[in-house]
Amino acid sequence: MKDVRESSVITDYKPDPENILEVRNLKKYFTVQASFFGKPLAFLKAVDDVSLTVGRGKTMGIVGESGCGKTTMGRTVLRLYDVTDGEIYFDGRNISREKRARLRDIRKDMQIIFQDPYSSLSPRLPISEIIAEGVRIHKIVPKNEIKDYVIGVMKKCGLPSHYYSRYPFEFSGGQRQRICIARALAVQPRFVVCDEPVSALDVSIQAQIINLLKDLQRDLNLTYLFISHDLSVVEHISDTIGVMYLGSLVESGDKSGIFGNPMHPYTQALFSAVPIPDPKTKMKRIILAGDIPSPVNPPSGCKFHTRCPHCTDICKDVAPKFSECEPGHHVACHLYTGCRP
Amino acid sequence: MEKEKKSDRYISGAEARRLRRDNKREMLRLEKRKKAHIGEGQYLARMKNDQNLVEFEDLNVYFFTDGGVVKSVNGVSFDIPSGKTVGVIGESGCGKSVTALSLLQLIQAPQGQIVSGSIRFKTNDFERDDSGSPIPVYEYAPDADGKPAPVLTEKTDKRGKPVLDPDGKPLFVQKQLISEDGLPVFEMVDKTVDIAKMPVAALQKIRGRDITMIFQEPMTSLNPVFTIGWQLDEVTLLHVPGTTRKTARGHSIKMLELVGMAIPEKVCGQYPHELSGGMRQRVMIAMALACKPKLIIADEPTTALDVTIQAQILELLRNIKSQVGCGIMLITHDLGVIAEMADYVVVMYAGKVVETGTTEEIFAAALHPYTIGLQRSILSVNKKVGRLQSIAGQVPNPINMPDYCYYRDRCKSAFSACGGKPPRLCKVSDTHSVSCYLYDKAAGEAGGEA
Repeated sequence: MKDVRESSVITDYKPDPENILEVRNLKKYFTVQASFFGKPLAFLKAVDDVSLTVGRGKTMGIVGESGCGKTTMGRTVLRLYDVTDGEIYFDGRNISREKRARLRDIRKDMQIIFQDPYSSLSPRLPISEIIAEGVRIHKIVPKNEIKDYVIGVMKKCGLPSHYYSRYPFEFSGGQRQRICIARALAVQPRFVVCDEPVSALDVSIQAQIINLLKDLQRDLNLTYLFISHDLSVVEHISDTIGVMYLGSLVESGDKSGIFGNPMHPYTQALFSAVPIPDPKTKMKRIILAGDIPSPVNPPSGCKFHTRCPHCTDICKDVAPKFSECEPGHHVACHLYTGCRP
Repeated sequence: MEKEKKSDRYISGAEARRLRRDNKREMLRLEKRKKAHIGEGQYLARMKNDQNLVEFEDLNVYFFTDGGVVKSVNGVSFDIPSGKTVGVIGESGCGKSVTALSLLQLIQAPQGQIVSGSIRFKTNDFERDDSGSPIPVYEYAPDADGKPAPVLTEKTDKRGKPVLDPDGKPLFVQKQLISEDGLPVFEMVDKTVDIAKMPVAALQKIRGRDITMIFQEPMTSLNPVFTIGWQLDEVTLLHVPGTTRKTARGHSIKMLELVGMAIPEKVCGQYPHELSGGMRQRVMIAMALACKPKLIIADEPTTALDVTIQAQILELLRNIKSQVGCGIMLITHDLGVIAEMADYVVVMYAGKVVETGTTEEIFAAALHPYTIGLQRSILSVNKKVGRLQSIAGQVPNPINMPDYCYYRDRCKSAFSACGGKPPRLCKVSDTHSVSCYLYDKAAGEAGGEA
């Protein structure tokens, strides 16, 4: 995509040193249709103009329905996908155009925990090898100390040391997720993307893993980008929250701001749709009609206008700007453009 | 390093051969029973309480695997009252889906078998004449004197052409009553059957008509090579005698309208892959409703869907329940869905029912330590918690279940009596039962000594 490379101007933007991660106008398009000679004809705009910041030692939660681009965003931030446009500043350094070979030493600092613990562990390696692989590549400890180091990491993640030479098939889902966490933490990262780490697990196991993630964050001063569709989990673990819809952030802000005063109509509907485990509370439901539109042909103007209960004429034509309505609370909605300074 | 423990999954060659031989014998015996030609009298039963639609009593469903016998459902008893929603909750692998599948005898055969127990179900069968064909209800209209007289109509063949007598005059027959749905009406009779004893051939008349099922994954439960309309018509054509493709299609379109499809005629011509997850689940619900069922089994109907779509589907299920008046057996692991939908709750753990009660009782005054642990370990929006309380440990290995209370090893309030035989379900109030020695002191002391 030549045109895109030309458009990326090197800016002299200086990120805030308080933030471990800053993402500015990130875009990730996938080609869904190409001409005979490979010229892209249609794009799937998986991530479309997302900007966010994550403070050191904090957790940012990303919520949204399936297909809204939260996983793609998480992977693009780690440069597991190439960036179409926009900048990613990790620890003050722009990594959005970094070469593959130079990414290797950044990868030591940023790791990912995947959603499905059944498909993200190699069935042919014992867990000692799964965890030690990264340690060896990044030369975290000398060779003769690797075994003790791996056992130490396993213990930290709640895995007894006699599991050392077992294979993944011998473990249950919760234990597998512990192995995934141990693998990610073995290289001593500072930033971890948790891509739906608990959604494949049972509720009683979910609680164990969430507690483990919180303990590890406290002990190792980790920063999490926590991606989930489960609002209650995100509320529990996050400091700041971003709500995504069809590839864009529609609202972001502090946990208390987002949950106490959801402003975007989509956020309001999303929160009201969550069933409350208490038969006495009768929620006033906002039930959205229809389904999420296709990201290949997103609606014009505000992407949410096809399902929005407050849709006006301007929403159909003009895309709203992502602007600060309250201190630290950003919303992309025409309903609140009036409150912009 | 700690000493490596020998895996509890290990079995010797001789043991494995013995297991296989025993399993084969047992499976063949149980399979034969399902295919036997037995009369209706063999499986008719009586309800204990006439208000109930389904009564499970001491149901045992085992899976005969090469690693040993897995007691998936181990002595489960509970009732589903007519027109109510019963929610079944539990972790994955606790036997909630198997309980539901045994209600339709759809367990993976030959490994999975209903070994003992009974499932009584109040079905609504066609009244049959001596030759075994269903008796139609005829239409009557007042004649000149105001007395009801049978309405006559031209006799037609399968293609809709009039049948002529040898003289070339059209033949007249009594006109069958057509319901509002456009389907022919037959004389019906209430029967109570024991599904666990029924042969499959007889059960097929109940499956899809009186008991229908909504599966978790709507993509894998619709056939990708047939259109939605074809798959919907099939239900009506199979279960209502005397329907034509045309009346069936009309009925299918009505059903799709009922579940809130915008253009049902168009959807009828589409294939499952052309629809989104929420739409597919609506089609599944339409299919389940086609024959006015008495019980809908919803097996995790919203787990594969997003929260906003989940809200739509739950709203739809609630509306339909009030319109059709059927009972719903709702299986889920989401306590929020249960709180919203269910009238009664059954909590299952490792193949056993640990607690049953009304939704209010279970949520406000749960008794069993597992139910309490489950409720504490879940998060809910706008509920502030410092640290989540999790249930330590895991579900015991289903092949080697302990001979004491299955929850004892994870239970914080276990005491001496818990080492005895597994507790029975005992009543705390009219609707609330719990299987725990904490609330069954007398039995607990006796069990502790035993």
